[in-house]
Formats: sequence, C-alpha cells, structure tokens
Amino acid sequence: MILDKVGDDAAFRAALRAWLGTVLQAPEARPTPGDSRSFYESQKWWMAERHKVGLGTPHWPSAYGGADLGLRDQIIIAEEVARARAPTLGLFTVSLNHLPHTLLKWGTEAQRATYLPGVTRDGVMWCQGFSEPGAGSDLAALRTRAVRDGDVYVVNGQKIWSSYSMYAEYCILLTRTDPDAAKHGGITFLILDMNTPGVEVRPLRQANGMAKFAEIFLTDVRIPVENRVGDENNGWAVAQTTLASERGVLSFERNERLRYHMEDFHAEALRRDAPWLRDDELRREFMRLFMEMQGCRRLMRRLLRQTEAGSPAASSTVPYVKLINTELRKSAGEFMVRANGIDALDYVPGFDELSLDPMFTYMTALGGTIAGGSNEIMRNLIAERILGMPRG
Amino acid sequence: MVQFKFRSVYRHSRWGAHGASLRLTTVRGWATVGAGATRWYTAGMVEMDAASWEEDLVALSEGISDVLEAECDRRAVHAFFDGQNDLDQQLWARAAELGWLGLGLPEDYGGLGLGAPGLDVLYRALGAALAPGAFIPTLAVAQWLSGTAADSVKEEVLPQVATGALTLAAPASLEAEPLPVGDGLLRGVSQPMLGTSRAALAIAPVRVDGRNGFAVVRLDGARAKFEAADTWDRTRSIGRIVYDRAEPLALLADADGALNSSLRSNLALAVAGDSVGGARAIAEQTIAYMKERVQFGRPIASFQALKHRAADLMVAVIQGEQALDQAVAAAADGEPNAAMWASLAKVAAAEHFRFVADDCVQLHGGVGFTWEFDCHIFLKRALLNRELAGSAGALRDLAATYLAAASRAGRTTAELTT
Repeated sequence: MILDKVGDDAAFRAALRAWLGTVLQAPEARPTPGDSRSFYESQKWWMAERHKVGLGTPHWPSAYGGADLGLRDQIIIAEEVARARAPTLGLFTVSLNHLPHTLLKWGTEAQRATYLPGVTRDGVMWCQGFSEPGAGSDLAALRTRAVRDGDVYVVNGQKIWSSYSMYAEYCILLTRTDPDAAKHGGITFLILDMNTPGVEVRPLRQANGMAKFAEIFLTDVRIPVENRVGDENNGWAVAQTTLASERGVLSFERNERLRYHMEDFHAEALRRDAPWLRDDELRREFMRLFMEMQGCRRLMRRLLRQTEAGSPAASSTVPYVKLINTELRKSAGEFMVRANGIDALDYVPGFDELSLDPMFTYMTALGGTIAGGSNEIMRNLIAERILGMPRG
Repeated sequence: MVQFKFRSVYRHSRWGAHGASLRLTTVRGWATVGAGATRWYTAGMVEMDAASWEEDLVALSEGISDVLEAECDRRAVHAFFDGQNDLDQQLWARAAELGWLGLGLPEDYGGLGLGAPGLDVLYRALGAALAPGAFIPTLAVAQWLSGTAADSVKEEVLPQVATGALTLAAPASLEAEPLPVGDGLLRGVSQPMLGTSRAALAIAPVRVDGRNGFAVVRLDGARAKFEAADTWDRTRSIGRIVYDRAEPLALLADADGALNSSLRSNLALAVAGDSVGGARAIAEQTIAYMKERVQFGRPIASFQALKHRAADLMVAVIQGEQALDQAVAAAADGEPNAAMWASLAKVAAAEHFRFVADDCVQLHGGVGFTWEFDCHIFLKRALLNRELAGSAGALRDLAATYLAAASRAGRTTAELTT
C-alpha cells in the first residue's frame, strides 16, 4: 500500500512513482483530444484507479473515508502526479474540495453521512451553482429564487459557468430566500439532486473548444428543506467557506504541471533545434518566464507552509498567488504560441490541462484570470485588505 | 528542515542593544540568535528547523533596518547625494563595528559564516535605505574570494574587509574583454568599475599569455588610480582604473571560466538584493503617500484605478523577491544550477525595481518628479542595478546556455528541496 509509506518521504515518493509508472500505461490515461465523452470516461477511470490505492480522498478525515493526510503529504502526491504527467482530477474538483470543506464546517451529521461516502466510495460527481448571468464578480447579487413551501424550497432561476455540471449528480446551490434583506443577508445554501424535475443543463463551449462548463436552468425545482446547509438566509457565510477551499493543493498541482510543461517545451525545442532558441528576443523571454515559473512555485510553497501553520499571513498571500499564477500561465501559453510561429495556429483539439498544444494552453489559460475571483477582484482585495487602501 | 553549513565549529553571536550588533565571543557551543532564542550548534552540517532559521534571518534583518533607519535616514541620504556629508564613511564605520561587513565571510577570516542568506539580508536592507558606499563591490568580491582564492589572498584581504579597513572595486558588468597583460604589468584603462576613489584594491579581469584570469591590484594612486565618473546615481560610483605598469598582488587563473561565473553570481546576488530591498521600500512608501494625498475630496488611494496600480507594484515586488529567494537558496545549497538562478534573479529583480521605481514617480505626482523627493534616487539606483553584473540580455543568454546544457545532460534545474 502506498499510504503505508507516509512518514518516510523517500519511500512514499518511490511507491507513488512505481504505481504511477504502471497505472498510466492504460489507454484511459490519454483520452481522445477534443472528445468530451472520452475525457469524461478518462476522468472517471482515473478517480477509480486512485480510489483503489487510497488516493481518491486521502486528504479527508478518516471518519468520512479519508486518510487524514496532512498538507505535506498531499504536496508530495501533487508533485509526483504532476511529474508523471498524470491526468488531473478536474472533473471532481467540487466533490473533493468544496463539498467536504463546506459540509465539515456547516453540514449536519446526517448530511455528511449521506453525501461524503458517495464521493469516497463511488466517485460521485458534484458541481457548483453559484454564478449567474447577473452575478459574477458581484456574486451576492444572485437572484435565483427559493420559496419555502412546507418541507421543500421551490427554486426558480438560472446558474452559469458551472464546470462539468452536465456530468454532475449533485449541485451545491446558492439561492435567494429573502429578496428584501440586504444583499448578503437573504441567501441560502442548498444541495440539489441534479435528477430533480425542472433541472435543465445546457453545455457552453469555451474559447479552447471544449464544453467544460454549462448553464443550469431551474424551473419550479423542489428541494427538500433537509438539503439546506446552514441556516436560512445565512448562505453567504457558508459560501465563503466553500470558496476558500478553491485554493491550495489544487492550484499547487496545476503550477507544478506548468513547470514540466515549460521544461518539456524547452527540451523539445532543443531536440528539433527550434528557430526560437536562436532568436534573442524569444530565447530571453523564455528565460524570463522560466524564472517567473520558479518564483511562483516558491510563492505557492510559502502559501502552503503558512496554511499548514495556521498563519494569518496565508490570507495575504492567496490573492498574490492567484494573480501571479494565472497571469504566468497566460504569458507562458502566449509565448509558446508565438515561439512556434504560424504552425501553432493550426487547430489541434485538446483536453484539459493535459494538452500541451500551445494554442490550447493559451486559450485555456484565458479562463484562469477570470475564474475563481477575477484578477481585478484580486487587485481590489490586495489593495483594500492587504495594503489598507480605503474603499472608494 | 533545512541543512545549513557552518564552516566553523562553535560560535556565539549576539544581538546588542541596537538589535543588530553581531559580535563573536569566545563562548563555545551556545549561539544566541535573535531576541532570546538560544540554541546549540554542533560542528559541520547542522540540521536546523527551517522556521527558526528564517526567524533568525528576520531578526537580523530587523536589527539592520533599525540601525539604518536611525543612521541612514532619507535626509542624510539626500544631503550625501548633494555632497553635503560623508554618510558613506560614517555608515561604513558603523557597519564594521556591528559586524555587518563579515556577515557572509568564514569565521576563520573574522566573519560570521552566514553565507549567501546572511549577506542577502544585508543587501536588501541597504537597498531599502538607499545606503551609499562600496558595499556591493567589497562584500560580493570578498565573498567570491572566500570561495575561490588561495589562502594567502584570503588572509591578506578578508580580515581587512571584515574590520572595514579596506574597500574594493569590481568590474561593473563583466561584459568587456579582459585586459591583456604582457610582462606581468597592467597598462591602460579598465572597463567600467563599481567602487569608489577610496578603494584600496581592484579586481581586474586579465588575459595573461592567452589565459583568462583575475588580477588583484593595489590602487596606490600612481601605478593604479581609480578615476570616478560623475554618475546619475550619486549613492554609488562608477569609474575606470588607469593602470600604469601596475604589478598585481596576486593572479587568479581561470582556465575554465568558473571564477568568472562565480564572481558574476556573487555580484548578481548583491545587486538583486539591493533591487528587491529598494523596490519594496519605494512601493510601500508610495502606497503610504497615496493614503495621505487628497484630491477631489478623498485620498487618491481610494480610486480603483490607482488601487490596481498599487496591487501591480506589490506583485512586481513579490516576484522579484521570490526570484531572489530561489537564487539565494540555490547558492546556499551549492546547487549546480546556482549560477543560472543568480543571473536570472538579478535580471528579474532589477527589471521589477525599475518598473516599480518608475511608476512610483508617477503615483507621487509632481513631487515625485522633484530632486528633493526620494523617488528619483530609487529610480537611478534601479537603472544602475539593471546594468551591474551584466545586462538583461547578457545574463539571460548566459542562463539559456546553462539551461540547455542541463537539459542536454538530462538534468532538471527546477528541483525544489525546501
């Protein structure tokens, strides 16, 4: 067992490498580019393979099917997974992080017992229904209405940018229960079974060609009151917990992948003696980005150390990490497109972070500076909460 | 955990009343580092808790900054800039007294053995304070000699550096051709040198019988004379040395270029430290100013356009700092890629410093453009730093050759151990 080696870093790494070396031989590890179904199957397969060796939800508490793995060991897993160029667990982002984070703090024991084992046992897929067409950066302006009717809430409204919601079995949903309360005051957090009548999901195609997110239309959808997380009208506080779980090991792993992507891109250029290596401007720009990449990795590690130590400094590092990391991925993607010249503009379908095509990488990175709190919101946070500049 | 190499067996260092005096005493075994933290250090490789090592460096940094705040304040710097005081001399004497000049040097030569991480703390603090003087050429060259020169050279030079008895002049950019030396004597005019007319020794890249190396030359004012230029950045000085049959004190052969690379790395780390210290200082000062400055009936810090500018300043500051952290860690660990990271970090730190200092002029408005205000001094230091130890293009090209060599050898340069 791989997890038996926890505590002995070298042995743990060796066990991870051995397992990754074998399991990634399977054809499912490389889905057909541009084929959403193949991508979905690959993700389900990968989650199942990780479960088999205890690496599905190792960071969860053991009481709910996890292995109580600390941050340090989660980092080792992320490093080794990235190093092996293994698939991401993008499809399960909400299942693995947002859901447990939220339920462990705000959920009832019954809710935890009902929903958490589904993820650890069967890889049940969850999505997040927060953003709306009129509530993006201004999330608290959301208008999806939930009206109490006996033991149920009747929900009407529309959600958008909900990643992988076309595959999801459940959704964590923000609704407005009191339209007369102050903006942040009338929001309630609900759990929605996506098979409930009145739920319609329409995939949206992204700039990178993949349909990764979708719109969710809700028409007279009846959600049992027992599916409420936290008190009625206290959903904003619950949502803050959910959103805080987006950071950390997830973006750490993505950043590690960027390291290998850049190293591979450079090694490949050397192998085929790419013209950009002899172009002073391009070669020097690559070296600038390479330095930025390494600096970003250090910053990310600092954040994880602060988080592990429970340091209040962590919250002051988060927006910087988000800004630097997402801008860097965009710059690196754009650089690779330019370095490869007109050939880079031939359409090559991709599939999530595993695709190394420069244009696909760049197009995917465009989403990073928008999602998870746009970089403009991050700049506001830095200015107001960290630098103490007054609100306008 | 980090492993930190102490070159000496036992040591005792003490933070004095100012919080920044470092004195070696004869007490063996216990090292009191920072306020009240006492630990036992053993010989050779010492396993230290990473957090406490970082805390020690933070304590050291705060101690140095306290002294600089009191003795190298902005009023004094401006007066020095206008030739109205000898702040550089006062500061040098104070630095010698407090042990700063030997921070990175081995204890056998009167230093404190803190290596690259200790020096880094000092460079950053000096940069933040706009400190005048020959700190960079003297300390970077001494550090370089401590790792490369023969014992006789080290014995001659290093203790005098640690006590503040002499300063050094070093090639400013290391990009010019080495000086050809025929009959063992140096003649002609040197490449641009970083140092002052008070420098006692110069390091001259030379070519002797077709072989590259470095000469250590005494600047006696006759056979070898430092002629300072009038530079825009008056806190440091650039000059050329005129050699008239100067006989070197020592010649260091550099057949494989390793000495050159190592000198460049030591200078690069110094300039990068100065840059990130300067960038953070002027950025924080500017943001504080924006909270005070009222226009249209509100502090200009409340305008979103300027908030985003301020955030971008801090992003640049942090990116420079992270780049340098990488280079210092690589140097401290003796990584094979340390020279690559030093080059890249220097360019990143200096470019970010230039960006920050430039924008801080604009964010200050009219006063930012005046001679009386601090902004232009930071900007002028940034512009000099951009050229020191090598230009952006030269250093990135150098780094590209390191990276290509590592990649061809199947070696990664990006492993992080801490």
